[in-house]
Amino acid sequence: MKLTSLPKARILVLFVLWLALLGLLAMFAPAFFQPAVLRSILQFSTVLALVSLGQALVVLGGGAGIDLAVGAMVSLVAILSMLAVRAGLPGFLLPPAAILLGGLLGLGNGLLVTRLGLLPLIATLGTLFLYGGLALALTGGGPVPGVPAWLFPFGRGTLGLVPWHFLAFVLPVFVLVALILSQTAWGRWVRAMGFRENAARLAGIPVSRVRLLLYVTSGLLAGMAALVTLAWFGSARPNIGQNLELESLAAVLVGGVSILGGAGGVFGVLAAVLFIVSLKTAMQFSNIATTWQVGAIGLLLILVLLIDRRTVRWNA
Amino acid sequence: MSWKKIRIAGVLCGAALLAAAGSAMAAEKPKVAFVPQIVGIPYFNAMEAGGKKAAADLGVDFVYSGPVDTNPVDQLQIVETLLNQGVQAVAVSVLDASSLAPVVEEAKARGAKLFTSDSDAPDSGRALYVAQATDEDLGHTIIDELASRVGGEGTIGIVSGEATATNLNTWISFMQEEAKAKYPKLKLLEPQFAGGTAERAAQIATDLMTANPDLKGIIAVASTTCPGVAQAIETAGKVGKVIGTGYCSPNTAKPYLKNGAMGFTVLWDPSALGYLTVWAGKQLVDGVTLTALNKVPGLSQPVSYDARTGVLLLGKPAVFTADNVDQFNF
Repeated sequence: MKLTSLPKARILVLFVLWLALLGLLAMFAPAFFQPAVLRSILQFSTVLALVSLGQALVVLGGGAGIDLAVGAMVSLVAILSMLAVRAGLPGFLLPPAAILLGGLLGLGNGLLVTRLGLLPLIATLGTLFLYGGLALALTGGGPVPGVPAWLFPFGRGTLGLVPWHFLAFVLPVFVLVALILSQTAWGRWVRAMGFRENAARLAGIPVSRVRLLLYVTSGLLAGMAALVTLAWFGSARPNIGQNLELESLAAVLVGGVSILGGAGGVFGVLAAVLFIVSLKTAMQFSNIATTWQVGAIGLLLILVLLIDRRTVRWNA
Repeated sequence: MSWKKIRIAGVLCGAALLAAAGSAMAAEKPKVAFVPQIVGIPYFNAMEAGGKKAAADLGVDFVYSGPVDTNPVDQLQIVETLLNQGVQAVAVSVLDASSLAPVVEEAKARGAKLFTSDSDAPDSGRALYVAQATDEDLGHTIIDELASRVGGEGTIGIVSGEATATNLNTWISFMQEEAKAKYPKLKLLEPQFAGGTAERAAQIATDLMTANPDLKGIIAVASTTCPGVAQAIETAGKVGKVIGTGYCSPNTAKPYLKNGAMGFTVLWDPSALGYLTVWAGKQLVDGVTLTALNKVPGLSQPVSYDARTGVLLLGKPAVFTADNVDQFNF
């Protein structure tokens, strides 16, 4: 089995799924193809895209890497930064504060995994409840209003059909991460340690430091996502990041990143994020009950992995 | 290679969008949608049933769709999609008041009506709010009903949930106001707070009956305290001597209403609320101006509308007793 066959097969599956979805929509719900729907899909993609990128990096880095705390970080960052604003933090400092807070929470995850040697699944499951629980406890479950109004155009406005936060956050960070992964030594280290950790260590790659940085990056991206939710909704909600952990994991796997690490690229993840949001919107559009939509994401995940297994067998 | 394919997909997607952008939607019946806070709970199922009935009566296409969790993002996405589908009037039981403002703008741009029902976002610019009952009426009704059953005099205990719950405290203050104004011989004890558990409510209710042998009634203010209060009355053998009541849904209260531990409960009828919601949506689509008092076919009492606050009020709270409780399912 070649190193690259797996992501390629999955990207092909994703491509076929896209065509199937668009074909079905064209046949049965042509009204779906209107500019406002595209705008809506992009609007709802930003938060998932940002946390999925962080998730993708953590998974790529191998060592059973997974970040179940992404959604909880989004919730807690949103709450903490709004509490800070209420306690007197000047409004213009809100964006850097949110991103920085995200980085700190990510650092917590990274330290648990790299310094204490906890299994990432367990460590981030713990912080999923810790961060998520803290967000609820700090607010008693209610929202924290009072986001400065000058932030709203960033969360709600568009340039043409593309929301500002998609332009300002999603596109730059995906391009930047893609460049880092393909052009720099750091990028090669991430793939190398994801593919063969022992070999990477022997080759002198500072595996723990790189891994720590990956969790911090996931936190920074969650902080950006939290900032987007604040600018969009005008208030912080303690459960705003609910379900993001599983949806981001689905996007990462459907997007062609190997769960074992080492293989996959970030643009596949972006395509998968757009697909998942489009699928949800399309099901909504066809008046399929939301209860089925959650199941559909799970089914999609299983389907992709199944096809994946077959492909791997053929290639082996 | 993968990137290329995604690009191709993007181009195809864009082409399809352009091709279909011009196709207009033509609906014969007006479409009205209701987005609950969460799907799959009896309360909103009852609202859905009422909405469906109204849709059949009024010749409206009714869409019922809501999030699986009480997640405002999912709720917002559903609202946006409904607007994109060309639904002319969308009612929302708002999860997060501040998150509604952006879609209200969008609805206006599309010429659609966005309004709230069951839970409001007053400052969002929504078309109107379909309200179930006022806090004042809820507080007054429970005292009036109780007073008529105990002959206007006696000692009444109050068991509430969290001491910090704004809505519960408001109801209690309206109870105290009504008792003071109309029933000077009715003595309301200081409210006791049970938190969220039925066991604690049962304990408090038992203590109240022990400490006040002349107790005539106990009001369970939080819905979570209903079973506890009723069970305490049953266990103490005070059925018929102490009247249990409260803001309890018929499904919760049914066994206690039947065995007499509870004399009556007060709440509103969510299916009537759903009915009124769809009716209001139809009026908005038709461009009908609501008057101060509106006759709604299918509802027994006329509904009042306050043009200043934009609140369309379902009416007085409903009183559930052993005789009518079987007609409700929520």
